[in-house]
Amino acid sequence: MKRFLIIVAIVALTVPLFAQEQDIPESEPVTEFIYDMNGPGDQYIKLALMAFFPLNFSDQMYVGGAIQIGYHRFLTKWFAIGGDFMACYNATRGKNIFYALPLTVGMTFVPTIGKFEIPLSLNVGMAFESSQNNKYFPGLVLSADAGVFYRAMENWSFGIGTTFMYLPQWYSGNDVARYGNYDFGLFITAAAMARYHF
Amino acid sequence: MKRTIKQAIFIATLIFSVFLSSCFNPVITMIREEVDLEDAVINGNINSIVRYTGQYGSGYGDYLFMQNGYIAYKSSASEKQTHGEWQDAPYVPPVLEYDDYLDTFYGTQIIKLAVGGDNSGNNTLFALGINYKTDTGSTVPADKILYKLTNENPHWKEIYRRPVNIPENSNFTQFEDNFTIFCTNSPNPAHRRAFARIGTGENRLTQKYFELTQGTDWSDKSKLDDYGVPIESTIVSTSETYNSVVFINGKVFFTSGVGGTNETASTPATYAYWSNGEMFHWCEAGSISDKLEPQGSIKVAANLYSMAVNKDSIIVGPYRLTVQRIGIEKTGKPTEIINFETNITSQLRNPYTTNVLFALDPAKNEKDNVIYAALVLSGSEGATSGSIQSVGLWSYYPSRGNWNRE
Repeated sequence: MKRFLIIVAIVALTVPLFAQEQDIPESEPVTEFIYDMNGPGDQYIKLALMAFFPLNFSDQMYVGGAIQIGYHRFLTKWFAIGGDFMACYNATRGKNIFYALPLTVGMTFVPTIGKFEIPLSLNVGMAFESSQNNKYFPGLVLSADAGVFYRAMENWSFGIGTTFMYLPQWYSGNDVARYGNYDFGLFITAAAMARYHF
Repeated sequence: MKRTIKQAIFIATLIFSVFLSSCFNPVITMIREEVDLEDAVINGNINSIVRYTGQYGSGYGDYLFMQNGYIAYKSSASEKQTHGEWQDAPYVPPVLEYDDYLDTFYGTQIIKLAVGGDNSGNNTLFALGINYKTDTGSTVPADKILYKLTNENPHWKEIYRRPVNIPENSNFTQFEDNFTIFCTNSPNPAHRRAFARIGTGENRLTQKYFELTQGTDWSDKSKLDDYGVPIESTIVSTSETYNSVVFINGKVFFTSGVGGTNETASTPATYAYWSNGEMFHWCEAGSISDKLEPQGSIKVAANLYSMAVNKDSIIVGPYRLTVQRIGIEKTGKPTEIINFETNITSQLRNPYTTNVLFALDPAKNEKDNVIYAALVLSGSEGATSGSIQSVGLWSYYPSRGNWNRE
């Protein structure tokens, strides 16, 4: 008898639960919340502080520095376009300063893993290049960026990255006989970066 | 529609201005030519490097002298043509120094040298100095003093002194008051002649040119007129301002810019070269009568301040711009502006002015020659992006193979 009463009590408690489920109308949609790191229309401003390494100057140029500021806007959750302005310098063997001011536009693919973003960019633009009061302007710039960012706050992410930069120069007139008609500089950076998202 | 047109005009203007301001110097390639810089041993403003043959100190020989406020010298022997061989000349007039206690300068700043001589090849070295005084709290130039190096005893004798006349409303420059010296600086000692240009009259606008010789001595005031100008007969008296002189065909010819010839130590000049403003001129020796008339000309980058003649080319120093090279044929006839074969354009360049260029042996090609140059900076470091550390003497030694600080 005692066992019977326990079974009745369990059934009595359970039945309302099933009864409640049966009360939900079948036509009501299920709302699912999915969090994307970025979406179309999202924007960010990037600030970077860089070590600037010359790659094809052997001992003629030393490691320098650079700063960069950029603005980018997402067209999809994966893809952004934008522009960057960089100011970079290197000391040279003859105790001069080489500096370049590249202004580029580019497209960035931004895959995400959890709170991590991995932006990969291709950029093209023009640069003002100068050393020893010689100037080259406008010079072509081609560059590729890669980085890893951690979205520490809703509006801020921090990360590290690198930029590979190609600065070709073509010469004309009397300079051709002396220097040839083409030379180029290759550089790579190691950057600490911060991005403000809005 | 109007907005589209405005945008198109804006973009076109932007592109146009970018290409208007375009310049394509070989920035990257010139960095590849840079060399480690030597520690500079001769700093300061240098206005002259001169050849001198004669007795100096205990030895008779061929010397090079230069000034940078002081006087320095070295043997012109080939084994001495390496970095660091210049020595301060002994027995010079008291050098310019600053007295902290009296808050004034004392001593003499040597601003120019010239070597005179005769047909026998006896040379005399002259030095032009300037001293300063304190006037109502400011340090201003006081006198210009002409010294002569006597062969008998290696010391400098004051032979002329003249108060500096600073024109009103003018920033004083060392040569503005029309008293300076210059010389032919010929490789052949018998062709060396030196001259003083002295302005006379109330405003010193009439120039008188005096040859400086072993016997020149105007220290006695009885030898001067009321304006303090020597009474002795002059070579030329004119309103023209000459700054250099060349020796060719056994005579001297004055020029307003810089001048030179293709004379070597063993062969006479067959061509004279000189500048006037931005024009580089030349003429054959055979065409010269009473003055230099151009047979041909080349436009250079700016007013020339210096010139060095080599066998295959002439290096010229335009005001505040990179040096240029003018090719010459075997006959000595100039051709056109050509490229250098050394790293000279990485060193003697804008914003500096190459104030002095000196080729040791004009019988050698540029790349095989010992060449000295002096850089000066017109304007402050900040305004010109130049460095005061580069102001001074530079050199090219074939053994080193590059231009570098001396």
